Amino acid sequence: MEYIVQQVINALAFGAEYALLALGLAIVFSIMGLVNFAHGEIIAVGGYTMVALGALMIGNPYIVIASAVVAAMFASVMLERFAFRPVRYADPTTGLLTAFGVSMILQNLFLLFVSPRPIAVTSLYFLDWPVNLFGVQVSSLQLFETGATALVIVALMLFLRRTTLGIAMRAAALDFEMVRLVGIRANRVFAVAFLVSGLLAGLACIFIMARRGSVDPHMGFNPVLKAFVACVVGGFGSLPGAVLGGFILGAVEVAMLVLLPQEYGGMKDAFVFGIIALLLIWRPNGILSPRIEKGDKV
Amino acid sequence: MKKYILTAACLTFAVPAMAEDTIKLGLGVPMTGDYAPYAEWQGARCMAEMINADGGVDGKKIEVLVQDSGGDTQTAISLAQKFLDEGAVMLGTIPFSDTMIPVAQVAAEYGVSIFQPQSTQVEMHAGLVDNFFTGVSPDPFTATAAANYALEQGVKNVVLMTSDEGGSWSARTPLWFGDVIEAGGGEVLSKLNFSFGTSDWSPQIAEIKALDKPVDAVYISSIMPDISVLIRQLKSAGIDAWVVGSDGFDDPSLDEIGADDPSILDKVFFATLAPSHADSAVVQFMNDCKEMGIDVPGLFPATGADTVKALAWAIETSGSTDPKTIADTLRSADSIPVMSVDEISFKETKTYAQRTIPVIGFKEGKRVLISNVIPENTPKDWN
Repeated sequence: MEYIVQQVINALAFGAEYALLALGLAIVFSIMGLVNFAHGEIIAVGGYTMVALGALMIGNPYIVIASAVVAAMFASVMLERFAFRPVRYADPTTGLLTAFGVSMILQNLFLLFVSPRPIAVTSLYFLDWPVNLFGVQVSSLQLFETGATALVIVALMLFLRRTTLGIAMRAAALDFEMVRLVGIRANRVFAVAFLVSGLLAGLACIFIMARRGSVDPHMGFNPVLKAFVACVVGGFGSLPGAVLGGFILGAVEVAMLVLLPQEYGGMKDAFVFGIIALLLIWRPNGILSPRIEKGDKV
Repeated sequence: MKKYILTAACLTFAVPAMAEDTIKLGLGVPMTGDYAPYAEWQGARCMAEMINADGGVDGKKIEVLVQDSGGDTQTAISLAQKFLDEGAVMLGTIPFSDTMIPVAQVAAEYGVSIFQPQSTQVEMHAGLVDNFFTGVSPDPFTATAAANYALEQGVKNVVLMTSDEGGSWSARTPLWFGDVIEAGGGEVLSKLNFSFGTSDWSPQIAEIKALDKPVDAVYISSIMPDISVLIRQLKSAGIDAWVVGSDGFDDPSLDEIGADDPSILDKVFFATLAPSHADSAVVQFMNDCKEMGIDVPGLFPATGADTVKALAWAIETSGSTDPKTIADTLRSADSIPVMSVDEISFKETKTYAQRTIPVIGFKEGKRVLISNVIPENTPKDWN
């Protein structure tokens, strides 16, 4: 029984991380129709900020965490301003190619100006210790991550439903031209979407770095791929869909990891994506795909 | 105008004469991308500069031609062709069989051989190509060396982590470790799957905790930073087992996880390509290169020095820069001097180097050389 509970908690923790990452992608997509594949590099910016602070002998964990989050938010807004704004009204494929291009440029900047090797960051190890939860030993990091994701979901809901800017973002997701006609500044809506996306990347960065303990130029690639899959499963552009997709992906991954016989271990990803394909046959636009003609997108 | 044409013609005709004065080694290796930390070009360049500063080989300078393959097979093949056309007498490429085999096939048409200083995968020794050398011993040897030390430490019950993503290196090396442990009276309690890029090992750790018997050692052949996450999560979960591995552990970032708490590395050891502790020849070489202004960041980049030193030795011994003569000289020698260990030999093994296998552990967070011998009980059925 303890084993099953343990694996359920693991699946929840995996799902929480994927949900956090997927939300960052979904919020930009819902407003701008852009799949921001450079989201992973925003996470890496947070990681390299931690390295820079370490080099400056700044080890205070609160400063490290705050700086990483602020750096990710800043980088995200800068990308919107200088990379994505010029192609805002272009064909969606142009935006997609721009995102890939930005991702590659940032990776190569990390490679050339920092290092191709993983650089250890030990300042967040303190976040991880064993916790006995009703007789089941779990990692404190799993609890923090699941809790943080839950808080983020609630905060995002409040922001999108209770604030003028949030309501404007929801409206922009539905009909951007109409939002502009009523006097809301388009640049501000886009910038806030990227700011929130950067905040989510920064938060994800903290948990990834606390667990991983190192940063390298490609550290964002896998997470953003998982986030993309989670978004597709949940329904691209839907924030609840991104969360649901993240948790489904986490559960399927953990289930395949522990249920597949060892000799089929190499086919884990094939099984994971097979299950996802079945889900997409059932709901081709994702489980909670936004209604196209009416209703709330985000 | 006439003068310019004449000058250009002179320069054109001068190129072959200049080419004969240099010994060209072509390295189409990943200088960017995931595998960049493992490429050998910095060590090769440094060793070439050292030899050239001493007058070269029979008066000829060694020229290391380096270009980024990004880890892509097709790019590596194109680069191999380019280097061969430029007169390279030996080639190097990424240590994965799916790249090494086609590159070796291209090189075979020119009579040129591949010298890969870090390739431990067994696939290359199955007879598909015969113009191939690896400067190290295959994975069954490192697995055996690690298992022998584990048995010495009283290890009985082991868990093997396997993955198909790194070929035999990550899929079969753990099984060879398990074979030696079982031959020594131990037991393989479980085999668990993993993927490269794993940043949370909680599902596998839950499996380990659910086993009937306490685990003495967990063996994995994987890469950093995944390994450091596993080490920390195992300790955090209260599993007091050895974490044992292969050359993938051999990265400076592993040592850094013990910066605050060195005890986290107390039960970690790995069998690797060459000794890389503080007093080793590899560390001495890296320091010498640093003084020359060349950064050689770790054991894997340093191994390029072995390629250059073996090539220089073969040319000096045979007195020829003919690629086939170089290969024959390497293959028939009882002992070839290299940088990372005193000597290697291909005489009995043909394609891989017979050499000692170092087992590296940690004491108070610092690397220590535990043993460095050629294991005699290596499983025989690996090829």
